[in-house]
Amino acid sequence: MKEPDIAAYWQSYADLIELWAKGTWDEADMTAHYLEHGQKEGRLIPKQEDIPDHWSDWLYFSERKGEYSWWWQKGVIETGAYRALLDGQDSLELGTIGNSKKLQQSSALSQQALTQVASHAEAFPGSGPLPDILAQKLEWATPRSIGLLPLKEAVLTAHPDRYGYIILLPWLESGGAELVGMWHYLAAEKLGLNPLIIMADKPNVTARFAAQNMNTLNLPELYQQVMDKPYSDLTRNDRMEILTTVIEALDPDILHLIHSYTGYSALTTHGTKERIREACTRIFVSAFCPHIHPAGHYDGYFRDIPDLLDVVDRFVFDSDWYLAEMAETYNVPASQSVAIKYPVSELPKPAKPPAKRNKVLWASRFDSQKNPGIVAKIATLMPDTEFLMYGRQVMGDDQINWKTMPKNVKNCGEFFNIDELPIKDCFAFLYTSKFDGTPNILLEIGSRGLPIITPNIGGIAGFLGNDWPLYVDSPTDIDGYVHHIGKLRESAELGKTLTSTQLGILKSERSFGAFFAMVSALLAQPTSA
Amino acid sequence: MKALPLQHASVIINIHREGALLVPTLRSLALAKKRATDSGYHLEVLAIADNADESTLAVAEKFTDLIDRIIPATFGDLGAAREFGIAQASHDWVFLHDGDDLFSSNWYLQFFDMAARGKIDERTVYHTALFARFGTEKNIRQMIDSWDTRFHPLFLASEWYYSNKSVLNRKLFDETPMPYNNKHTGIGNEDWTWSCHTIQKEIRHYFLPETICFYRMKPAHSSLGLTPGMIHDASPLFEPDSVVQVEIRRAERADKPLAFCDSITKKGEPVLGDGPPPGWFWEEVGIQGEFESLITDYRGMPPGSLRTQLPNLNYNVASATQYLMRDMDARPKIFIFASANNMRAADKVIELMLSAAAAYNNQSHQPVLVVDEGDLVFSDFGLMGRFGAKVISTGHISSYFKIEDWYFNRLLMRPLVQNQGAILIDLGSDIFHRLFTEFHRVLLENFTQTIGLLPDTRLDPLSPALINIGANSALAKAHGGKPYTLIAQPDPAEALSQKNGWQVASLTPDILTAFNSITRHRFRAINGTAGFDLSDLLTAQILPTPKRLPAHLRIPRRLKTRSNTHGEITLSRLTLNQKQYFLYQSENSWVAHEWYEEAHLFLQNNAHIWLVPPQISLSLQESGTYKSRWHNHTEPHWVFSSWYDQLASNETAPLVILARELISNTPPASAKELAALLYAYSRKKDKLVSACNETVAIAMPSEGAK
Repeated sequence: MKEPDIAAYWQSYADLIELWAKGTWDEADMTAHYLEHGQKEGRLIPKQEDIPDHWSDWLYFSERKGEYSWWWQKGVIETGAYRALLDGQDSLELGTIGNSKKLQQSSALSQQALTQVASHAEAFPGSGPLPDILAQKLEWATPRSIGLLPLKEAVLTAHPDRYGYIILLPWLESGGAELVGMWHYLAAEKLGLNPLIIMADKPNVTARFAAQNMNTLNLPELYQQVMDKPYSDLTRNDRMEILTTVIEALDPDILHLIHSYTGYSALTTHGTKERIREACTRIFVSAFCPHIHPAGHYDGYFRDIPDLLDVVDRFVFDSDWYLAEMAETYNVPASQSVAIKYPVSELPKPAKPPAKRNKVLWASRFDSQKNPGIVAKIATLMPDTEFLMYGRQVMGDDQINWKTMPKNVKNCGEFFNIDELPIKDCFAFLYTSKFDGTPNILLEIGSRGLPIITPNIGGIAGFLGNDWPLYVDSPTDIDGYVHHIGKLRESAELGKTLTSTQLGILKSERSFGAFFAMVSALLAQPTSA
Repeated sequence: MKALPLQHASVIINIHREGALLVPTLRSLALAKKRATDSGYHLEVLAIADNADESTLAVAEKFTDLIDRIIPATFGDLGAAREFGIAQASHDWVFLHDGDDLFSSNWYLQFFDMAARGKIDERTVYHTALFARFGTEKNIRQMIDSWDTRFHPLFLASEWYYSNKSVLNRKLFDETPMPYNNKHTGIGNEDWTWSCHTIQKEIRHYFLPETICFYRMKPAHSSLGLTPGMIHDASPLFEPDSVVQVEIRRAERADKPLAFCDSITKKGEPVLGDGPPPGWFWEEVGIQGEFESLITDYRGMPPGSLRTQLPNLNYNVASATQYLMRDMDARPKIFIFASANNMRAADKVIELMLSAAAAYNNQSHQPVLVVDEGDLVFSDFGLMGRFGAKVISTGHISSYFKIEDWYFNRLLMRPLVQNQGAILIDLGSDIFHRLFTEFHRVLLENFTQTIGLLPDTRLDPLSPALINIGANSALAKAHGGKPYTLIAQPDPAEALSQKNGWQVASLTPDILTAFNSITRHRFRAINGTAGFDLSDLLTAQILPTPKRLPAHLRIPRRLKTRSNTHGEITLSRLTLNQKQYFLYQSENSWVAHEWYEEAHLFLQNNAHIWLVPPQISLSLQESGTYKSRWHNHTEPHWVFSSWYDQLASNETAPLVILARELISNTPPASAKELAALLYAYSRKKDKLVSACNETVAIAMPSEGAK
């Protein structure tokens, strides 16, 4: 009998292992024992070739404890497979990777699949999924379905044209960003660039913008249609990937990002930013003034400028003031930035001044930024003047207690359109904001012929100039507000003169024609990024 | 303290690729300079532009009022560039800055004013009183005086306390030169190393009252300071003698801590020193927030949540460091790493290895055993007596010294870093694998030999030692520097040498005999000896590896194969029974070799099927773990869409498919392109798709990923 067989013999029986381990019997003794006694006792010699493929002693002895495990742990026997062969199928399954109930349970893989995993582990020890399975942490996933390919297909089906100017907006609600986006859309359309607006964050569209009939890709809505699940459920990274894929598919000449979170995220993140850069001939990014919270900390997309400088051709600001701020803060070169004066929608014939000059109009958000609370202090000092306040709370960072407001302050509620405001009944517009860019409300109020009292903050001087006579010293200059309101109330002539000045500025600087000329000049310039 | 008539100092600003982020820094420093110069002091400002990019230089060039000279350099190393800058300075006192941090406006003025009051000492390094992190992390750390009784120098084993953003007399650098970073060898963190060196020489690290460094925290991928796998260099501070001296000096001090006991303590004590930020901090937030709006974010934190915290004062780290370094003699070291639970006959194997290490080269080396002790109990006294061996028990470190995970590895690396040039022999241990995963560059590049010794007699894919050594081998191969040699018993060695391209050697007969003596034959007698010459192990011959390694593409020879690789995708024409089909397989995928023929026959026998993909795919996440998916091919375009999505999400998906015809005129060059082509192809009418059998495709890690 050959040596390997005798090794299999004595390694199968604990009493023989001990004899061999102690050196009491050698191979010849074992052979003699088998021939003379073992066979008669019914002892068997397992066959080496019957050891199953993908046998693991470490697996076997992790479940099979006791005497054999001890001998194996001490290094005396080579394997537990011989004993397992004699013990039968259940025992063999303990050490065969494919058949192991333990591994099947921890991986939820079938015998056939586990066997393949075992083959891989033998070919590439230390890597692959088997160590994970042993540690009982193989995860199963539903097929991943961001849906990039079907979405891309749907986008190209719905928007088969070549777009020269793509504007990335968060949504089309009622903010200044949407308005800026709309102006650029109209300019691009007039230039024959076939513009497209992509709403990249939320599907919301207000009636005002719906009525514009702009060519729009409502990404959240389209995603819901294609994948039958909400866009908002996707992770930030998935939304960035979707947007990047869509931009690559549409292959625009110019991409103009205006305050879309997904757009800013994609354009500042390594990987997607390079792909977007590759897909577009030119990239413009608009950034407006920061938001300053009541506690004093800043917010705003302007903070992303350092991460955008290497991919953006032009930063488009809404005032020279903000352009200068960004040049100072981040050294944004002049060649990489431009300030554009946005137009007012229309310049109707101004309303006649009111016969009774006792109403002041205030219209803005009821948020800390706009400083509505200061109106109470002004109104207290001017009991004969009525203050009509229009607006709604958006940020929720400044609670106005209307019950404690003076009687001459009236909360008139929300407004959706400038023409809903009682401009013809008022002799002055009071603007009390603590910080701002170029507020559109001032342009629109100016266009309707109401003189504006305001602090000279942010980009307001870009509209009214530095010498506007109705500037107060600071947003909290109560005496200044009272003084200017009083002056206007006393002098209809002063109001008329200043209204005329406002209109003159708007006509010369804030017409669509002037804006179109600026955009045309911008597009005529070469790329710089 | 002698008053110094200080009126002049130099400022060294190291700039590199900060771009726009340099602007707030320079505006901040310009204001600090103005405050000092308005008070009659003089500052020379040098910007050391080390491989600076254009946008960074453009910013620096605009600050002509601040910067006197921009000096270009090509070191590519912060320490070297700083050293160069210091040499260029006109004055002995130098302020050191990086290009993206801001400083309180009193930073320079405070120094001059203190000097005028005689409060500045040449053998002290002055830091800011507060170290305020902003950006991706917001917190404020109080600088602790290195002479403060609460500060124990051995804290520096696991944590960084003193940056080089400081003001000091450059003579200190003559005495203790600035270390360099070396990304290839993993030895770096130059300011950490320098603080260890200087504190060992009793140079004080102190702070200028009411000053602040606003330290920009960036995402890990863009921050040099957070480069993973780097560790601070060896320092005399941690030498066994120094460890004792530190304690003696602490014992001899007149002032002693009263509030707590630093040698019998809970590890988090004391927390005295925490408190809300002082008014002068908020004033500077207002000033510096004008330069960098991120600094205003402190104001947005909930009231009471922002505190000026003392750095961690983990006395357990000091105690553990003493444990790690004591009993180390002056000889070079042979480190032996073992996990008792990963080996058969662990007790005797470890003893055998210690015996060989102790005898090596006429006892020229001291053995150091680093062991996950499992159920075994080690007599460190006994092993010291018999083998002169130092024992480091990982269980002791974690349970007795209560060392937490986040600094466990770094602390365990300290005795190794202190003994660069040692011989490292790992017996497939968990502890070595853990250290190697994080610090493989250090463990390969700074030691005489790094060896994985697999004691297994059979190749078992679930052997924990093999799993660890296999993963280490893959990491070492990916690193591509000094070799990691895997030494095994003859059969496993032969099998392993045929795979993966690892450097494998076989145990020599003498060593095998010794191993057999302590395993198979160990119970032959109560008494006996076993031993081998360690030099035989260290010089074991590397086995030849096949010229053409069987990689992921293991197509059986029965299939006539012609393959062309385009980028990530190999397109193979497989012919069997005069039928030719087309195999598309990505470079990071594996499928059992039986599948190729099965899939081929499946297509032959099912004329209505056009594509045969695997049934199950095991893709690799960025985290290094696997995720399993079972594919439903009744709507195959969703399967391929899913493949595409996985790839877009940085998962490694195993792409393998056998096609009846070419799916495109031009072969795909990337996995994403292949997935997109399959998506489009499978949407064509009648192009049915089916798996054959329960085939598993497995994503292969990129070399070194896991």
